[in-house]
Amino acid sequence: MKTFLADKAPAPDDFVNLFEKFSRELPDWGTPIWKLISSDELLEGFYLYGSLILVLGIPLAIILPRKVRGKLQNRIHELILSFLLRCLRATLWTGIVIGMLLAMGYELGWIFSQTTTHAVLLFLYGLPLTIALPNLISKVAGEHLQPSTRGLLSISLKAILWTLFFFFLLTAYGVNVAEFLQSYPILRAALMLIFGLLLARLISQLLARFLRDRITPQANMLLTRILWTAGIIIVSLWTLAIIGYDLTPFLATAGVAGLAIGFAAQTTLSNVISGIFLVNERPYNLQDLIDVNGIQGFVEEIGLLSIFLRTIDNRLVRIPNEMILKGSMINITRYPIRRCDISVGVAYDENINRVMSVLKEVLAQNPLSLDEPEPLILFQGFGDSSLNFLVGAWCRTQDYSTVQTQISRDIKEAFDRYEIEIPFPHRTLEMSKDMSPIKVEITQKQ
Amino acid sequence: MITFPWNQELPLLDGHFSTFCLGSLVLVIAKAGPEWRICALRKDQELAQNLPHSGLRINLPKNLTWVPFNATPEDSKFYFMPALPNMPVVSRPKFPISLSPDVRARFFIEIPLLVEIFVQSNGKFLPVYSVASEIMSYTWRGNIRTNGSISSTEGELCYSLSTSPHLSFKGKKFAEYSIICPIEITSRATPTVSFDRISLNVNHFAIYRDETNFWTNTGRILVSRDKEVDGLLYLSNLPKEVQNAKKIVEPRSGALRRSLYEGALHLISNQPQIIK
Repeated sequence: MKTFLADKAPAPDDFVNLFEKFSRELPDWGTPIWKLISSDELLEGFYLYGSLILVLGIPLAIILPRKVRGKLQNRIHELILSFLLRCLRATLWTGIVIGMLLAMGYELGWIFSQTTTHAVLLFLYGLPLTIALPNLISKVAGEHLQPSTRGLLSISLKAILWTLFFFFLLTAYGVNVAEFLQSYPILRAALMLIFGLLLARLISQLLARFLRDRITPQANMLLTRILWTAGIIIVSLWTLAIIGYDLTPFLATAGVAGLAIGFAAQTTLSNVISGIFLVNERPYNLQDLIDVNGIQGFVEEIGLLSIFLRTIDNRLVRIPNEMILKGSMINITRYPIRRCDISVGVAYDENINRVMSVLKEVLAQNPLSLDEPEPLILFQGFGDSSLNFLVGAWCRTQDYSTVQTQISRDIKEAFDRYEIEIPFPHRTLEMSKDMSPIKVEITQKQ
Repeated sequence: MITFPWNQELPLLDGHFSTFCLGSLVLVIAKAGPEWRICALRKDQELAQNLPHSGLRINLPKNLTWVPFNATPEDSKFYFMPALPNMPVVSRPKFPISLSPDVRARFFIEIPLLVEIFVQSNGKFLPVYSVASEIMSYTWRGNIRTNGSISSTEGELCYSLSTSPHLSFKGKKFAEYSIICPIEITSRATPTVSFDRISLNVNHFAIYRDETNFWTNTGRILVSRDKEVDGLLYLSNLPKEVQNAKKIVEPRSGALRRSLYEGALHLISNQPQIIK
């Protein structure tokens, strides 16, 4: 069998000549197929090899990946399968193209040179890997990560893999990447900025995930922010250093500048330090309902300088950390149950035991009022115009408003039913003898 | 005798409704095109008075509060299943109960059941709604502190059941809306031990049915000599008097042999009380 590798790549005219040659040498259609295949002359030409590649190769390139998918679909991860199929398809189609070119008599020895082989391998397997790997890793790791961290991980991996891909491509074509980067500091700085920031963000988010069950949410939030801010500063300084900016004067003046900033930002620092103390003290968590100097709201965000409250009527209030540390703060939703106190007064004519028994009945009837801890019913004393009682019903913290409304309503209804009078302030005017009217006597006018 | 149509596929035509009563609960179920509609009322509510047993939906009062569920117009069947409450139950006898040593006392606690409604949706039956047959009030089962007091900061919310536990069920007519939970309590403490409430984690009880009642499997609590209360033990058997009962509902949280539910029995001091 003769070699089918030509000495040089054919010119367009050669195709015409080749076609004419094949047309002349077409076998008799009655010739059996085995004779055709055993014909050395035909084996040399494009006709048989090209046809075989087209007839067998293309269906194979279409069918084989489908068959492989069918066989492996439920055995390996979908993303790995997709990567393997991508590689398989790329290999098959590249094989078909190379085979066709060889059959047509092209000189393709250059393809098997080291440089081109590396480049082809990169395109065949490196490219599908670059596309598939970030999705695969973020998908597999994503079950344990928050969506934001998963997205960040995917972006970071994409950035790293695409950079590596281009570096390998440059290397395949004989470019020295280290020297290339050395000669372009701006490019190095850009890479540093991109990868440094991505890395800082990724580390802070992974740390937040790692510490989520170990420390409080506010400590976690604060730590993540500190780490992220430190990351930005380090990456920025490093980038400036790569560009060639001399950081020595900057660092030398940092101490003096720090002192000046310290004086200028006394309040800010006080808030930061208060924030750190509060994180350690843990008087509230995210979404707790708290009361700071009469401002009630749900803790929405815990910052380095302040916390943000969403008030019950949906306003955002910013409260500096220093204010919380200095003053008093009430956490309304810290405990799962709380007591709902209602004051009630009855007329002096009423029997105290009877009133207490009616109040007890009202509390027992309300399903939201807890049986245990037992409700509190106290006779508080003698008011200006009423006998005063305190009714304390224990309830779930989230039922507080409902219980307050229901029990107040039920008390009123029960008092109406048992004809117990709820008095309003009485003012009785009495005329004593000293205050008797001045006697006026009208005498006849002279 | 159980008269409520439990575990029976009931048909309902489009545009029609049916009303069912159990304990204080009045349930109205209607079919409106591709929608199932459920309305739960209490007998003492004005709306629940004089509701017809069944009929056309347009004849119902307009101000009923419906809970709708999607289905297809062809779906026309539903059924009811009994369920145990979805939170632990604290049974509070009217008076503290005292037990002598080495005596096994058996109590039958009536727990109001939940009605679980399964409706047909795309041909399959789905549980869409559950409602208590009787309103039970809440109670707090706080962790017991070292000084014996109950914590108001840690614990769990439970249903409170003010009841008089029955020592025997012969001749006793239990309410149709209740599930009877047999509890065996054995005390080895001397001279006596007194308790004023029994806390039950009902999620690990199965439901059985005989001709007259619903039952759970037996629970067992042991009080040791040093008055330590063991966790609740879920026995697989029923009282021997109701051996013919058939299991109809599996435990909500799976079967369990021994519960680590501490303080299943709340013991009280035997100090004589001075009546003031």
